[in-house]
Amino acid sequence: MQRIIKRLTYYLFALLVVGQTACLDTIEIDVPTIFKNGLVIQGGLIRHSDKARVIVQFRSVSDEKSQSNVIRVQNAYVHNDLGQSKELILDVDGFYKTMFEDSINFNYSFGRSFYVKVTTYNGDQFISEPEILSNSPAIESLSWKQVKKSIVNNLNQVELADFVEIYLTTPKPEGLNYLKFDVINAYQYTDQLEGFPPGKLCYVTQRADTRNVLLYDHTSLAEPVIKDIPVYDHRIDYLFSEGYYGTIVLQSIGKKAYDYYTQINELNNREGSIYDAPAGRVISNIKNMTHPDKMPRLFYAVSQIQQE
Amino acid sequence: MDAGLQSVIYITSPGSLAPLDGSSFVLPNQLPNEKGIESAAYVSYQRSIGEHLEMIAGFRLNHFMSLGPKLVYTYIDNKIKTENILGTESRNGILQHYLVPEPRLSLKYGIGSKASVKLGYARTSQYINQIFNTDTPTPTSQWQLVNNYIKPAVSDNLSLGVFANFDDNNFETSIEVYKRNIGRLYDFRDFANLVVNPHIETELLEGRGRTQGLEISIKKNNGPINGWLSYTYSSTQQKVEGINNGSWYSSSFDKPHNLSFIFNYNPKQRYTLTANFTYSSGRPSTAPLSNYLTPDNVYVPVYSNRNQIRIPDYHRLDLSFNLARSHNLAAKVITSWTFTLYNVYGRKNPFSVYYTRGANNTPQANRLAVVGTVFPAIRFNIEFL
Repeated sequence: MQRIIKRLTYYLFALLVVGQTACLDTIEIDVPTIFKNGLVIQGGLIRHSDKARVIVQFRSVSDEKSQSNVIRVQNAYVHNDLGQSKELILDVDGFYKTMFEDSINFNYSFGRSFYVKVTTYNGDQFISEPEILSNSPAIESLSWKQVKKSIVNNLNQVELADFVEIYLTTPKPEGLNYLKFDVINAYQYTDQLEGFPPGKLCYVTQRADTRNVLLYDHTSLAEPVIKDIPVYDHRIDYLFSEGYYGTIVLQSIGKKAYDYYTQINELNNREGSIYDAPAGRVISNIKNMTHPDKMPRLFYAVSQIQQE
Repeated sequence: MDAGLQSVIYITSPGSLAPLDGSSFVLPNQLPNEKGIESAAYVSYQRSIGEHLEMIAGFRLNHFMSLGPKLVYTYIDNKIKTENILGTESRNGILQHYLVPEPRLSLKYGIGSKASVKLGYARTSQYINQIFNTDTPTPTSQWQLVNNYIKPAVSDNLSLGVFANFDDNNFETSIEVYKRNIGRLYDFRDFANLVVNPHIETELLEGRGRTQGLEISIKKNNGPINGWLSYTYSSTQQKVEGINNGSWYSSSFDKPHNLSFIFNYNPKQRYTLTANFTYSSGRPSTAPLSNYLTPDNVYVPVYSNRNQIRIPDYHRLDLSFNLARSHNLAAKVITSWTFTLYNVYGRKNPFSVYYTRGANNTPQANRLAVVGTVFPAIRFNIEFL
């Protein structure tokens, strides 16, 4: 009997050891040098009504694995397939832009293609593949409903929260265009609306960005106007409540841009576990002509937008 | 001379998806079983040429049939991409067949009675592939048979080795080099959808591979101290258009350095002390190494090239002590105890490494070690004579 008890004790000990030793911890992975200070380019030509603007942003990937930093470049130009070009001017650090009020000196008609050419201070030249500007279908109807979804709160607990699901319908787009629809901004109205009763909190899946927002004046029901300055420098992150307003943007984009946004979305929806599907490098349509092996990240796209 | 026929039937179940309960958004999906028959006729001829040379020449004719019933996807201009899918056709009987001739030759040149040089060549073909549908190899991987679109992997293998024994065969040594060219292999494209996908061929890209290496081993057979030491250096790479700009890159199973050392100390018949040390390079992995912020304030992880980084190396030392009773020639049963310390220095060898978001949304590598500390064990052995 004593032998059996001893043996059982050993087995129990062994089981305890196994239970204790299946362990999970964090480790550091050596980052290849090619990733240090890699260039990140994102930009696009956006046509809205009869106007258009081109914004290109430059950042570097930090070797500290921290947030990426904005950087400046020697020059940046947008070109069309008619051989016309215009320089992009530094707006704020990392952002280069230009605006078009008409097509006299630079044709930005539908069906034309556009690309950007950039030279960095170390002499590297980057060129994007041409993208064709296509019509976006009009928004036929827009509605929303409040739904409950699980979120992980600050205490790492799962709780049900209010979300807004937005529904949008359009006619079938012409040709092989793809559509992208987004809540690009969520912001609170400025001073004149102080005292707006605090509403029930809910969430949207987009982070607020007050840069160059499209402001919708709900009091006058006027047409949206483009503001070049921050409307209200108040970052609300994912929180959205009554009294906050969002802009729904519908864009017509090309197949490659559609794949790009889909891959970004897929990366951001990964749970982080051994059962995650294989990921990879997000496609880019920008090439380094000076050093082809140093591939930049991100994308240059063109689109026409419809918004509500 | 030897000759023969061989046939193997394959039936694989590519997988199924089922919702956990009524609240799940998962739509049930069951992929039908896949079937195939691999048949071969072979002949092998062995003869001595002169006093020192032995030769084995062989030929194997392999035939593989992919069998229905099966829904076969058709593509515009036979360009296998999701956006080119024309439709499906229900097909029965033999869907596709492949015939692969496999010559092989082995030469052995004896140098005295205790040394030899061996040279070998063989062509082999493979009709079933394991496809890992997750970031790291897990049991959810699936077996994929060759079919209309996925063709057999054919490889040519060449090896040259020198084998020598010393001290009245107490020491056995060998050194061998090998090279293998794989004419066709498959890897998944970036962002592939490999889970229960009825047209998995759209997620795979065709390429070729190469493997080369050097193996050295020494073994001591007799005496109170015996054991062996072996070391392998190898390189396994592949080149697939559409991955890493079409450059050569490490295969998922490329582990350049492998070392194995077994040491036995047996001063008396009753006691044996064994030390076992294993080392291998970490396997390649594709990892998010950094991130950047888009103008929409979305953090996007920056992934390495395919298999560009390596997870930590694997090494482990085990010790065991075997205690047996005095040998009784009349006994019908022999018993012994074995006391083992597994992973003596408590190395947290990674079973898998996966990636989550850490502080500031930066990618964080997580190591899952199954036995991450020293693990004692006691075993009682019974041997019936």
